[in-house]
Amino acid sequence: MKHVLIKPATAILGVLIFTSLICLSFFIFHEEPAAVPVQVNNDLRFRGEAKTPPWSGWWWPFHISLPNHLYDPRGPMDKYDSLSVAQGLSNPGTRAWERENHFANQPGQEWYGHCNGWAAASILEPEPRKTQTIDRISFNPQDIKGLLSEWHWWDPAISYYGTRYDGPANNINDINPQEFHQAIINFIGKKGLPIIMDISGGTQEINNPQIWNYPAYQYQMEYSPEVNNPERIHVRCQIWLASSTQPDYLGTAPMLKTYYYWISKDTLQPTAGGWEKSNAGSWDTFGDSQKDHPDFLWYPAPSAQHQLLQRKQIDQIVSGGGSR
Amino acid sequence: MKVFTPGFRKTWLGAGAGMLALLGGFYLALNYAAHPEPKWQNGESWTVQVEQRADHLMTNDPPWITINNLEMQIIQNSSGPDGTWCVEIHDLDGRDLFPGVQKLQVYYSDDFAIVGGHAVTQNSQTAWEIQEFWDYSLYGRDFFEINPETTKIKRLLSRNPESVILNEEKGRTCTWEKNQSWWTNYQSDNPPLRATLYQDQ
Repeated sequence: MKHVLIKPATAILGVLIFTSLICLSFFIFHEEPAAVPVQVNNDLRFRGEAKTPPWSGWWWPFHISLPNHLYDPRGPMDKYDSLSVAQGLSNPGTRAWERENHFANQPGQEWYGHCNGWAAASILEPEPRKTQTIDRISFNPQDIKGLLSEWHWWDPAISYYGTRYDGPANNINDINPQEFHQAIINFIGKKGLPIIMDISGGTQEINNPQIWNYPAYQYQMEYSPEVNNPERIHVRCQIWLASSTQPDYLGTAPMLKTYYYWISKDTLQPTAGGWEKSNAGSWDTFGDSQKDHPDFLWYPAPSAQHQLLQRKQIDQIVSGGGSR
Repeated sequence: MKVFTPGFRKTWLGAGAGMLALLGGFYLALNYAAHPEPKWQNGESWTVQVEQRADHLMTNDPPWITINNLEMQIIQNSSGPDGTWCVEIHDLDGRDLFPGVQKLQVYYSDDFAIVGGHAVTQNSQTAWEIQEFWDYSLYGRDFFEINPETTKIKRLLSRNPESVILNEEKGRTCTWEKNQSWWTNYQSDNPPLRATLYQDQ
């Protein structure tokens, strides 16, 4: 049998050439994993804050058992009527209208009220902080906040994410967390605008659907990728909302809510901002977020009119114009 | 016993082919006639009133309230990357279409397919490309689509106003009428909207 002898130098050279070819082919054919592109607003995935925080205020319930009401004697509507009379106008009857149309006294109606009006006003109007006296009628900040809450009660929603849960025919799970995640980052982070949340969503309202609107103005996110599924990331989202307070409160009283969910990266739009454009997700059982999560989010457009209130007169009250 | 001779079979085959050709022609003619393709003219305009079921209200019986009165106006471009037609959309009362967005410019090709567009601020600055506006606003792409492919078969069947499903998951439908420049009615469950066309005479 004939043996082929290879010199050690040749063998080393061969191994070197072989290794070089392997390395070369690695550089040629190896595809780098797609990196999330660096964006100017990249940090908005982690925290964001509205430029102007909404103000806290009272939600002015309809129900007779839950004062304070807009229709109370010497309340905001009563003073509005008095001002009209003091200015030589006919009594517009706003207090009677309020008592007729925004009144409740039945069990199960305790949640009816003006939280949508207060939340919209707190986003769209500067906080009234001074008592204004016009024609010897004094409007303190809580009266003015009350009038603004009634005016903005009629505001449409220029943006709306999720759907209202009203019963078994509706989706109990929405708003989807990926939609929630995108709306929060887009409004509060990118635009610096607050956004209103109905916080009474999730399975908690299966037998008792209600609406509780609060303006959200700040968020902080923490991300932890799932070990066995790197396309899925778990999010702990903390949201700061302006809470409803006693009528005479001034400023922003924060209320903190924490939500847990996972979202899945949108592989169809890998360059569009990664998790911001997620197209799938679910509320996590951890932290009870399946039971308690926002039902829908919205942003108001100011009403152009009201059945009885006149915007000109409200502006006069807000500014104290014509005071004596 | 053979019933059909080869010659007889040829005649039948020829007649069958002729019938098929006739049916095909009839199909195309009917398709053309029933297809409610709008006839746009430069400067033409119409109004769409958009109402919203105010589900965000703290009451168990949310009313429908008007959110936008949209004026839509046709501007004819020369053909190019921005399409043949531009529909400019703004609110007659000056309301935003999205916070900070006052106007939309949606571009259409010669056969009315959307080819692009912008969402524009009060200062005529581009706020967003139109796709991003659709991602976030009340008005999705289907609100602006003229000729959804899904409607073609249905349109063959009737000359009456036709209800077209735009998005089953979001409960969106619209109604087209022959020779109208835009749909005459639009309904959406998510978000809860309804809209009506008011065509200028």
